[in-house]
Amino acid sequence: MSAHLDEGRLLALRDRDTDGEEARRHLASCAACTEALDTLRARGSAVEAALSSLDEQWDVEAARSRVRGRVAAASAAAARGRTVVGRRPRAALWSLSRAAGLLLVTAAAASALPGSPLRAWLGARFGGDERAATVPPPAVEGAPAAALAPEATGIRLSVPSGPLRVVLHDVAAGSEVRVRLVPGTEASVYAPAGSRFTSAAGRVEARVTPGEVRIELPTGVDPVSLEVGGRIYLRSTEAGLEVPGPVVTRTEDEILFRIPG
Amino acid sequence: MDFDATFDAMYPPLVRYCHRLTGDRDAAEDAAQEALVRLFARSVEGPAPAVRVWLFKTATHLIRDRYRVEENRRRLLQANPVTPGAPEGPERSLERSMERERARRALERLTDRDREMLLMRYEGFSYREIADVIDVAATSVGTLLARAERRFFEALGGSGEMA
Repeated sequence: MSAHLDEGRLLALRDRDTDGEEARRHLASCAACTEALDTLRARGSAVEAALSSLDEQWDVEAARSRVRGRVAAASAAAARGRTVVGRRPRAALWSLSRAAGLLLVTAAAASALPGSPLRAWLGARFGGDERAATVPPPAVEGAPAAALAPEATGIRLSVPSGPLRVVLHDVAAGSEVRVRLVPGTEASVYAPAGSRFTSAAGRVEARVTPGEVRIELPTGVDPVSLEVGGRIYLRSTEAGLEVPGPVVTRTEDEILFRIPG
Repeated sequence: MDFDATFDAMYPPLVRYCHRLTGDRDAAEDAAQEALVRLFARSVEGPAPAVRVWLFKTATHLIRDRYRVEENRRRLLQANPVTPGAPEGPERSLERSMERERARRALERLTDRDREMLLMRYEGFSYREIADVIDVAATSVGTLLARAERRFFEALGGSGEMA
């Protein structure tokens, strides 16, 4: 080999990530490439030192305990026939939401009928906007009876025009709040059983018991905002969606927050 | 898979990598722990090197998702976390703080892919493993890595010229 080694090949030699015997032979007889390799070695030491300056000490035992607890919780939930590891499969989650939505719409329609006992019940339990309705735990489409109804309840609000504010109180540290951006003008909030909801024009408030909260925010309403424990997690602005909350994951139509401890 | 043995072997380098990548303690711990939860809860099995690649790939994707919004990533990279540890003199403390700031700014000037490749290399991954995580051809890794390292070094204030 007569041509000099390029930087990539020299780097592979430095990092011992090549078995290029030909390159080694060239190196043995080429002072320029040997010098270049020495330069790369010095550069590597400088890079290593710079990266090491960023390092911190970590509480490994606290992390071990948290991971062990979450794995145990996931295993227990799996034994009950539910999948909760990390994130639920999207299809299952949103079929659950769709089923809940159907029930909510049904409940809302029933509540609109004059003389409906549901209307009276809703009025007594949830003051405010009649466009909102709440339902008992939603069923999972096609699931056996044993897997029905995670302990959740929900509220749906029709919002013909903005603004829309969703305000959550009492969300426990470590809980996940999953926000789904949906087309249309209907907002919904699902939270564990025992949670309390109130609504007024353009506003939904929930005092939630510990567990996952799921929110559907309509993209047809502007502006929208989500406030958790007095802190803005999400709001629409002229520039787009601003998300200052503690995001765990984000896709085009879904944002997962985890409440900090 | 033995929980404690795997945790002890994987968590420290994983959280270090995540922290170097994000510059944010909470984000690093979240990503590293979430990746480990998924590993154990999904009963991922395999030889240690393959498990390590799986964990780093999962954590990298979690971080990419989290920082898909560029401004959010920049804000976190600019954070200047406090380093716990033994007390040190004010001069040394200032010096360390400047070193850290310079390194963070240099990392910030890299593309996401360059940053991920560089940090994985300095966690001891082979070029083939890096290719697996970053989704590039294994034969390209040497060239891409050389460029990433050169850019980082230049951003630190070093000369990028080869002898």
